[in-house]
This record gives sequence, structure tokens and C-alpha cells, in this order.
Amino acid sequence: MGMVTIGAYDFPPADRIENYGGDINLYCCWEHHLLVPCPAAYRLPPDITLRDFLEQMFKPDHDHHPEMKLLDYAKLRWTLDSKPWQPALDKSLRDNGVTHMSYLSFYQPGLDGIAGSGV
Amino acid sequence: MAVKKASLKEKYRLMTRGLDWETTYQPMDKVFPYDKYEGIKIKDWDKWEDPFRLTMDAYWKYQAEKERKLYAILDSFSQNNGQLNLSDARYLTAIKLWMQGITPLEYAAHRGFSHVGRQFRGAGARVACQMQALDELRHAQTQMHAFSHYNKYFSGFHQANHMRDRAWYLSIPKSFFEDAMTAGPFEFVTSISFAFEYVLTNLLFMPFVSGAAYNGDVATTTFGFSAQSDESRHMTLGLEVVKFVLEQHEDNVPIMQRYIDKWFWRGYRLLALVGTMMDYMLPKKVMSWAEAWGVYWEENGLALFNDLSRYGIRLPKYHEIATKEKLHITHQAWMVFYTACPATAFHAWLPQPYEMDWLSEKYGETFDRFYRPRFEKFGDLEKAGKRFYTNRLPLVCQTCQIPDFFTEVDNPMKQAVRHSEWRGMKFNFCSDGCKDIFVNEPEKFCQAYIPPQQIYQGNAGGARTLAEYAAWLRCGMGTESGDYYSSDDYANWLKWHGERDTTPSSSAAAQP
Repeated sequence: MGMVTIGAYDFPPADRIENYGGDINLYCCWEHHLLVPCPAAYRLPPDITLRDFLEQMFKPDHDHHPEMKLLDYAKLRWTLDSKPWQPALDKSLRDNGVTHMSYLSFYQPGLDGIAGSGV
Repeated sequence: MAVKKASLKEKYRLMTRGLDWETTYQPMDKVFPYDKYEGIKIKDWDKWEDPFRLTMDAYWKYQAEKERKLYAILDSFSQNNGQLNLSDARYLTAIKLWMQGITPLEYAAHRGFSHVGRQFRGAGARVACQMQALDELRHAQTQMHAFSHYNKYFSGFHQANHMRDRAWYLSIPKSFFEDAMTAGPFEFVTSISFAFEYVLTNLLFMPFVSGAAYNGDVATTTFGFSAQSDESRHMTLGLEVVKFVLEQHEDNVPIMQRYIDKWFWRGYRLLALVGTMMDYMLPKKVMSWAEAWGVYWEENGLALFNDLSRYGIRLPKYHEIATKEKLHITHQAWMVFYTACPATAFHAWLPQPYEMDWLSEKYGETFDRFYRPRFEKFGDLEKAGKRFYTNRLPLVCQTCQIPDFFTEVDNPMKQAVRHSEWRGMKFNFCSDGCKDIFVNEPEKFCQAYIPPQQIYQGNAGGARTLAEYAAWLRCGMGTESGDYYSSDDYANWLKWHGERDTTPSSSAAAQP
């Protein structure tokens, strides 16, 4: 259903990619690890590899977590926008099909947080 | 010559509907251009029942009397150093959140009701909205006066306007009202008068005012009493609006149902912040969020919708999700405040042992299984001198603008997130309720001012991290922001009461 308005009503999205100077906005979540209580937002160049993103940005944000040292890239089950997804770690975000405002999440079976509580 | 005095009823008629007329120089549709485009059909505005037959002169008289009483008590509170009788200075986090988040909504409501008070072509509805517009302005002012005493002694009260247009957590209430104010007049009154003031108001008013009374805050309690008779008038307006519109034409039912679905969900999401106040910010607890939801929604709310079913209105969409979430959302929201308080103009803290026990008692296994382990982990980090603060911006829901701390209702370990695409662009949401609202009006919600996105686009003074953003908010660690137990507010509170710091976590509350 379209919006009911008193006249023409057409405005560009506030967060369109043109406002990011060549970068994209990306969200990433480590499932069952809610000590950082929300998925995190990143502004990134689309040609960074997924591995570099994980090593340089994502992991330092979670270095307080005791299960971080058990993280094994080979065992991760990924989703892109909540659909199952098989990324190539050494390819760029762009070549992996990750676009502006994409939501990535990964889960490693067996790692369910402190005392299995999801944190 | 004897002057005949009008009866009250006659006086009311003369001074409200008697002042109205059918325009002849201009067509009525041009004089009232906004009250038809939503598709709501009104056959007879005279069927509008005025629940409170209040005339303007009587209104001034009542309000002036209430003001006199209120200000006498506020003066006495201030002269007697009433701030020292609070249960604990932690309590003021709730009042800071009120001052920053709710008081500006009172002013926004004043603007909104002034607007619709001009735009309805029925005089009865116009008068009711006009009086509510004045109430709301009065509430904004009297709240500021009631809280101004605290500004002399505590941080975080002095720049509500600066914060309102910048702070991430204040974009939640701000965007809520801006959504309502930019809607048509019928949607506005359904959202604010019905969904918020009628259906959900007890969940807002009860915890704030009872919470104030329990925690020794005479200033705020007195404001609450002073606003009470206004609030009951607003609630009655809310119910009258809905019944009147539904009785006017059957075509109105699906439109009103959509408004009720949307604004129940939006109001419920906004109340997550209030629930957090009840469970975490009040040192002396009134009742838990789960208990309040049980009484005010699961009992009273469901009974109300039972009554409305004869108009063809069903329960709001996703109400059952809200009920399932009652055991989780306040704990999840407090985690966000605890970890992000370097960028808030109020303090957060780990619950004290007596509060952990209270939470266990009220939330049972939910708390002990999922949330106690987080607090214990944070407590260990504090003891090790590594108080945990997040330095990363979160995913924020495109609709409600709440950082997405929500989990799936059937699995509290799994992050909840929903997605939609519109004109080739991706949008993300916290819930099906918020996604549906977006899908109905993507043209509107695509323009939302989402704080993390604005920060990353360089529109927050060039800040890229939470710390740089806090500086742009003019929030300083230890003054406005950060952990309570390393704040000036706490140090002063101890000094004024001649006490020493005995909280184990305090000495370890390090800077980020």
C-alpha cells in the first residue's frame, strides 16, 4: 500500500550510498555472543577482504570475550541478510556480493557464549 | 433589568459549538484542507460527544489553582534541600532521561495538538485538542521547573535542547513524535491520544510518578498530581476519538485498524526505555516491567479491545510478541545503557546485589539463565579494572530507531533482525512490527535520521567513534557520562551525606 499524502511526496533515502564517499555501511553480528549487545555498524571500503575486516576491525571489538581465541574461520556458518551464505574470506566484500547496508552474521557450532547463555 | 445567567450546559454550548460557523466566502474544504485526505469519512461532526464539558474560562481557573499548589510545594522542596532526601542519586538517571526524552515530547504534543486543533472541521474536536495543546505546554514548563532544582546539584540536566537533536537515545522519542506530527490529523490523534495516552499511558505515568514517590522525589511526585486531571481528560479524548470515527462510517474501520496496529507497536517499543527505568534505574522498586505489562496490557488492554471488537476492531498486530518479550527487553536495554554510557547524559551501573536478587525473584529463570551471567562477567571485568564500554556504533532499527538489542522470542540467545529492500536499497529492522510499518510507508521512513549512519556520513562534527561522538554531544566522562560509581554525582552524594565509598565495583570503574 502506498503512502496517503496531501501532494507529491518523493525524497531520497537519508543513508543512500552516495553519502558515504565511496565506502559502504556494513553490519556484523557474532551469533550467541551478546556481551556486545547489538550488531555493530562499520563504514568500510568495499574492496577490503572479509578476512581483513574480521582481523582488523571485528575481532578487536570482541577481544574481551573468552571464546574469541576459540574462533575458527573454517567452522563458521555464515548468513548474508539472514540467508545462508558461503563467503570467500580472501575476496573483497564487493566480490563476495556484500553491498551497502548488508547484514552479515556468523555462528560457530559449540560456541554459545559464557556458561552457554548466549553472551 | 435582570441579566439572565446561562446554565453550565448552555454556557458550554455557546462558548464552544456556538462559536462555529459554516464558511461562505471560501468552501469548507479549503478552510479545512487536511481532514479528508486520509480517507476517514465523517458524516456528522455534531455526533462528537464532549466528555469533559470544560469552557475556556473554567479551564484557566482550574489550571491556575493547580499551579499555585504546585509552585508552593516546589519552593518548599527547594528551600529544604529536598534533593538530599532521595533514596539514592542513582534515581536521578530516571529523571535525567525524563528531562531529556519526555519533556520535549510534551512540547511536541503541544505543537501537534495545536495543529490538529486548527484542522478538524468539528468544533467539539477542535476545542478538546486546543485544551490538550495548552495542557501539554504547561506540562513541559512545569516539568522543567520541577527538575530545575536538581540542575543546581547534579550533572546532565543543563542542555536538554542540545541533546535532543543529537543524542542517539533521544532520536527514539523524537522520531516517534515527528512521525505522528507529520501524519494526518486522524492518525495523529489515534497515535497520541488513543494508542499512547489511552492504551499505554499507565505504563508511562505509573512508573514515573509512583517511582518518584517511592524514591523521595517530592518535586516530581507533585508534578504528577498536578498533571493527573489533565491526563484523565486526555485519555477520555483518546477513547472518544476512536469511538466517534468508528461509528461514523464502516470504511473507517480498516484505516483505524492500521493506525492502531502501527501505533501500538511504536508505543510499545518506546516503552522499552520506561521498563528499563522500572527494573534498573529506580533504587527502590515499584513493580517490575513484566508485572506492569501483565496488569496494564494483558488485563486492562485486552479488556478494552474486547469492548472495541463490536466496531470490528481486533487486537493490535504483534501484541502477543510484546507479551512474550516482557521477560527480556528491560535487561537487554540496560546492557546497552551500561556499555554505551560514555555517550549518554546520564549514568549507568551494575545492579547491586539486592537488585540482582529482586530481578531473580521477578524474572526467575529468564534472568538467572540469560542475564545474570552478563552482569557477573561485567562485574569481573570491573574488578580487574577493565570496566567494559563499547566503542562501536550499533545497528539501529530504521523504524523505531532503537539500537537492535532484541532477540528472537523463541530463542533469547539469537539476535533478531529483519530486512527489506526498497528502490534497490537495503533497510534493517528490529522486528516484524517495525518492518511492517516501514513497508507501508517507505517514502517516509527512508528519510529517518539514524544516528550511527549520520555519524558515519560525517554529520556529527566529524566523529567516527563513540568517544568522539560523546565530545560532540558535550558529554564528559565522570560528569554527564560514564559509570555512576566513577561520577561526580556519586562523589558529591557521599560527601553530602558524610559517607565513604563502600561499593566494591567503584574503585575499579576505569575509564574506557
